[in-house]
Amino acid sequence: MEDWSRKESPVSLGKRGISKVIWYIANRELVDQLISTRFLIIVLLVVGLIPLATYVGLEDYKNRLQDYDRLVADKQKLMAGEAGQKVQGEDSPWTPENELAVFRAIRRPDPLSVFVRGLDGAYPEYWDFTPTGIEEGPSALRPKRLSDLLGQLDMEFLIRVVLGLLAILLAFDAVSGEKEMGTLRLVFSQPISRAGFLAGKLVAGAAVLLVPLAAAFLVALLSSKIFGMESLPSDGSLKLLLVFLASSLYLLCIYSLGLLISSLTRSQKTSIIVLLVIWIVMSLAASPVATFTAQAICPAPSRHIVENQKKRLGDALKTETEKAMGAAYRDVTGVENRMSYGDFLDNKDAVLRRIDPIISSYVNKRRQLLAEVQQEADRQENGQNRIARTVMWLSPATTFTNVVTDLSSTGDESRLAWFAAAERYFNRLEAVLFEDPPMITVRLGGMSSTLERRNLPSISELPMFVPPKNQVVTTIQRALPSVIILMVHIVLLIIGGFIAFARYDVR
Amino acid sequence: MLKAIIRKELLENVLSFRFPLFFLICAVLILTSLYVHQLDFGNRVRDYNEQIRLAGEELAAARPTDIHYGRVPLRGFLPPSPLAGFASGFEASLPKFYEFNAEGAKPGDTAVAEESVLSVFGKLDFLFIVQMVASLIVLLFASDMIAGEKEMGTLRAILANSAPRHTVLLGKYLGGFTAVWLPFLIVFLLGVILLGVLSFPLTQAGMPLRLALIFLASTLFLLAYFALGLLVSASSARSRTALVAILLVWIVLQMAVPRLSDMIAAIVHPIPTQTVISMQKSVVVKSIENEKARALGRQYEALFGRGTPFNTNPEPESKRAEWDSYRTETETLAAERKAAQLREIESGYQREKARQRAIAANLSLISPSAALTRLLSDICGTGEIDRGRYLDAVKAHQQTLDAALYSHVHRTTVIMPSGGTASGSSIDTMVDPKTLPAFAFRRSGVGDALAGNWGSFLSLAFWLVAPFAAAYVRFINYDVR
Repeated sequence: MEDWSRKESPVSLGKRGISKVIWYIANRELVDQLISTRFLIIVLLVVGLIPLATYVGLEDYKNRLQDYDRLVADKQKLMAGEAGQKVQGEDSPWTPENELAVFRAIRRPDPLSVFVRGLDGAYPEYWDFTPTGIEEGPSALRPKRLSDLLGQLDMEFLIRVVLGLLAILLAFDAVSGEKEMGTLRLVFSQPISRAGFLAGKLVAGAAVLLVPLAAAFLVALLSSKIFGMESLPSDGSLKLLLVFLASSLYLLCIYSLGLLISSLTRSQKTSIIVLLVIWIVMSLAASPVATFTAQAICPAPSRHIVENQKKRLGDALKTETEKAMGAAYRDVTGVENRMSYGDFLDNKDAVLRRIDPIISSYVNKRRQLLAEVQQEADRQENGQNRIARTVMWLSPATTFTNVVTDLSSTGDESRLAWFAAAERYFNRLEAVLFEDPPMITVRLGGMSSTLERRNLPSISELPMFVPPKNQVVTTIQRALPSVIILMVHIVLLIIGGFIAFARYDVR
Repeated sequence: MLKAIIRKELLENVLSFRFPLFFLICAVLILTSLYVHQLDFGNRVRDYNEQIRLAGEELAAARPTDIHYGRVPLRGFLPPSPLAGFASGFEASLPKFYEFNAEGAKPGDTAVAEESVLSVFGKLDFLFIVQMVASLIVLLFASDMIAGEKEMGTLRAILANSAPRHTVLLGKYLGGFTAVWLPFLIVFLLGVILLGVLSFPLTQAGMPLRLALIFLASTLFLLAYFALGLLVSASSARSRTALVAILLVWIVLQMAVPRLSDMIAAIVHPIPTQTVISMQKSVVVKSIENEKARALGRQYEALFGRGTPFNTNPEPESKRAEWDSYRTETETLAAERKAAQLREIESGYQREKARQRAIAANLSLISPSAALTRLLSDICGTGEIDRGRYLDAVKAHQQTLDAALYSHVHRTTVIMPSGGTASGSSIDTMVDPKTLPAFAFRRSGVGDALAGNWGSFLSLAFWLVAPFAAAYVRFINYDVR
């Protein structure tokens, strides 16, 4: 703390109103913090770690992009070939390559995931559409190296953990330090209001924290350029700006938390220990705890098991239907022990007349059966996600993670948007293709044969997959609830800080 | 005197509000984590048994020809590791099963795909709690051990006694650490009891030893961090400075070093990506297959005349024996060539990759937390060693199946010189699928884990001794005036 005697006497300030007091205190605090060693060290640390994080994120992004390019090339090859010209709409196990892969919806990794990794690696890389439902592809996220087991290091992490730590280190002695040294008494002997004093500290803290934050963003952009990243699309830069704003909100939140604890405690030591423990719980343990709580309260079956269950139900129903169609075929053609395409063509109209009601009843039954299973699984999974999100909102750090991941389209909301888009596409495909299959399999005795029911459409006649909207406005809408929660945190903490400080007995 | 100092430190810490706080955090985090992981383990064992049963049923119902042609795949499942709750390691990222057919082994789904996406933000296993949460709290305890007493002036009073400085330091080291270690020990024991109640296989061979090793390794790690904290505390005049410096050290050792070592390894020893390798492989496979099909087509037309449709029993019969022997010879030759070339590419790639990995792993051992991660995940059977063993087991099983089953299946594709491609397949001897050996994978023993981890032990030992020695020097040099 600096020497007060050399400063302009604050007595005269009192008359000039509270804004002057705030400015005065803020000015003193600002200089104090900017020249401190802890500030310098943390800024250097952040500036040193950000290029490392960018490098790691960029390598990872490039790998995912490579996967994406490969998948797109495969799909294009498939679409250009026979499978693209004649879509059978049937998932037959003996086609060498699942021909339904022509519908494959492939997700391009978001370039912002270099900075805010979020869930980007945990999304499925693609979705396949089959008559029995949507099949998810694998996700790119797989710990491959030892260091992957230590959690992901990206700009979001550095802001949340390292800059959050800086905010705490700047705030913990802001009030309790002055209490301990006795300078607070001196301040209060001047006509400086308590509110003005605390507001000044708050303004100064926010201003000081902006410096390393801005440095972090600039270094991140610069190093991503140096490591050879493609330039961001225009809305990408805008989103990054929003991430910056959200980060400043978060740091303000942590700083106000620091001020609150600092006002409540009498010694710096108590203040820092309480703060660090809160910080550990809040920024390291909160998200795993949220997931755990959600899983314990609302256990959901694994997606793989649901998928298996659906497959088994669908397959059983399909075999049954194929046999029923075989019986119809036999009744019409009168042949018992052989199946030939010629027989079918000769009696096509009669066979189809018998078979069509079987198909429509099959489609209805399938829809009902699978929807029940899926709805139950969805309900459980949504319940689990809701609980996890609510628990996460209790901590500013996890709320911050939600905000920035939503803003950079690597969050949970964006994941749900992709699932919804896949669902929409599936419904459209179901209406034009799966419920009116061009090819059918007919089973008679030990034989089975695939028959052409109607002309096979080509992929160009079928609807295309529409990826979810990814504009700035949409991402803001997605992030809005979490932003509001973050602001509520800030307001509550600031009010708490003012109350605690007002109650402080200076004697 | 040593006893008195130890007692003083112990009492001071135990009576301070930090002690119950630490106890509470440890108890809540570790016990919930073990509980949830144990439930999860139960589910995974159920899943595993169910999947094996289903695969068996599917196999029994399938036609033998479908099995021979690989239409019904043979599967090998990964048994879940009971200790994954202590260190989940690569457990969730390994394929839960492999599908075997004539073309090779194909990995199935991983557990990662099934987890709630929220778990990306961090897994709350015992290892995470020890190396992120407990380590920070231990540093917090250590930060004002000496600097605090300097600041308050009580250090002068202590040094005015007839106690030598090393006794004072040792007393602080032992007393202070015991104060943080006690809650950790109690919670660990409670956790083991909890696991026992939850039908964890405690009595399984080697399990008590593994648990003891997990606890021992964590204790060594925390002790090393405590010594580090003591060093920083002895070097700084004020506890506030000590704290800032300690947090800095923690961030660097915890986050920067392991990743930096990856980066350095990738720069020092660059290797081609997996995609490039699989492209190389597919080029080799395609060119050999193509060559083979052309040769077969030429021979077929030479024997049976131009324009004869491809058939498994072509006319005239007299030339069939010649055709069969030529076909078998060509196919065997091509298969051998293909295997040799693929092996060369693959082993070269694996060698390079292993070298890069070794560089990264050895560099990362500079950080005690990387050493702990490696050691603990290997002890729990979820680390690098068991990942390698799983892949080896898959490879061995594929070879067994190739020899016992798929070598009896012949797939012939011919490209006729006059144009046109045809293919046919045949089975020379039917094999009863029930006689095929089942996939077997055994996790590594404790001995393997220890033998493969001497580097981690060395790193932990270094971090145990060096900071304490440095702290000793700093403390001796401290001018009390």
